[in-house]
Amino acid sequence: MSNRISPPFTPEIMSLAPPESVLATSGDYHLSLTSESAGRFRGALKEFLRQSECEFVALIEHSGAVLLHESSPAAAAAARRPNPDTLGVLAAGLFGSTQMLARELGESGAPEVFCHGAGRHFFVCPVSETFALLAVFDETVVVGVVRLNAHRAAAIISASLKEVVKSRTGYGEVSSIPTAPAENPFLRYN
Amino acid sequence: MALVNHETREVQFKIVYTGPALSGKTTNLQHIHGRLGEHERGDLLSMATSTDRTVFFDYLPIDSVLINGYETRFQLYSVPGQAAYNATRQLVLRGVDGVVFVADSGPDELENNVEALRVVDENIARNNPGSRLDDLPLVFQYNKRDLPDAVAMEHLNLLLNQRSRPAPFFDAIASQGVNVFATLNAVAQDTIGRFHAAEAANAAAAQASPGHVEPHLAAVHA
Repeated sequence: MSNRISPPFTPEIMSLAPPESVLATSGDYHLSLTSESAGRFRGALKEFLRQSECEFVALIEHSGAVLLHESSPAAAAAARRPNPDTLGVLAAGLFGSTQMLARELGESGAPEVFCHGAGRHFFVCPVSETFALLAVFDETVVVGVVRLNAHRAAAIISASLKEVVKSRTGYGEVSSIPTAPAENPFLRYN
Repeated sequence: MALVNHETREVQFKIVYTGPALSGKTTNLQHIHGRLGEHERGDLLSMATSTDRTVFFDYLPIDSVLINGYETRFQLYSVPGQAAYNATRQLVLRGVDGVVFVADSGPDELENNVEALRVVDENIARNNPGSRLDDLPLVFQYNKRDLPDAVAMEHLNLLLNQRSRPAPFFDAIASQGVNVFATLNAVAQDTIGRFHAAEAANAAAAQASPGHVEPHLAAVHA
């Protein structure tokens, strides 16, 4: 059975600069989290954890990407810790589907999601149109306190979000991303 | 929508496997999960019915090449193929960086392949303003080539891949792992390549006109 890769995708050709039309084609924006932005957001998340006494908080994008996450010292030391990326992906799916459900019901604006578990609860609230905050907490924490502080943190973060969102071909900050061409990341497994 | 984290020195991309129902999207992810070592991938998360049909999405994070100190990570998703799940499919296509269209080579599936491709294009346009399927890194995988009555590759390609810039395509038997990684490699390579090209353009534009913010980002900033 032949391995049919069309000619433009051989490694040699890929190392050449793509034509102009290709430059404008990889999604409408990307996220670029600098150390300065990360520090600012992390400060807001840590303050949220301190005031709300939650176990875990994450800033997620609606595609499922987790920008940042923080855990309380007790949660960070726990033997069994949930994977933050998995939490982010699931929370983004949940939040997105809740938004769609609300819209179907004639609601406008972004809803909040609160799940009351047997011992552990979570809360998702919008930070902007495409970002949300996920908070995880146990039964000792008052949900109203979580909600209040989540909105405070969301307000702080949303004020700085434009630092993170970059045009794919536009005029964002000069980034320090490497420009080396990709080789064959996975062909060795074939 | 790539995520560049300068703090953790990580670049993250989202690749979505799509296609008609039962074409082998989840099988691709299962094979990748099975072949990669534990240090190279996370857990395979499947939101499936009791009969193993994907109901929301499957998700598999994998690590890839290290370029100049930045680790490249791919978040692989597969979406449900059934028409009834179009709403959830749209959610998963948000912020997609690359697409693998897994087509079914069965002779009775031609219409489903065409319809699924049309819907993907429509969903990408709806959920990624300014983007069309043709604009994204796209790879076709013509799966189930072991079927005795499989439709000729040329026929499938004529039907699905008549595009302004034809996408790379592979014959595959995902259940046996044939060309699963070749498909992944092609879409990953194209995604990384375009990202770096866009970054270079970004840097050049920033030097020419610092401080400018494009109007189409206003909604994201809001």
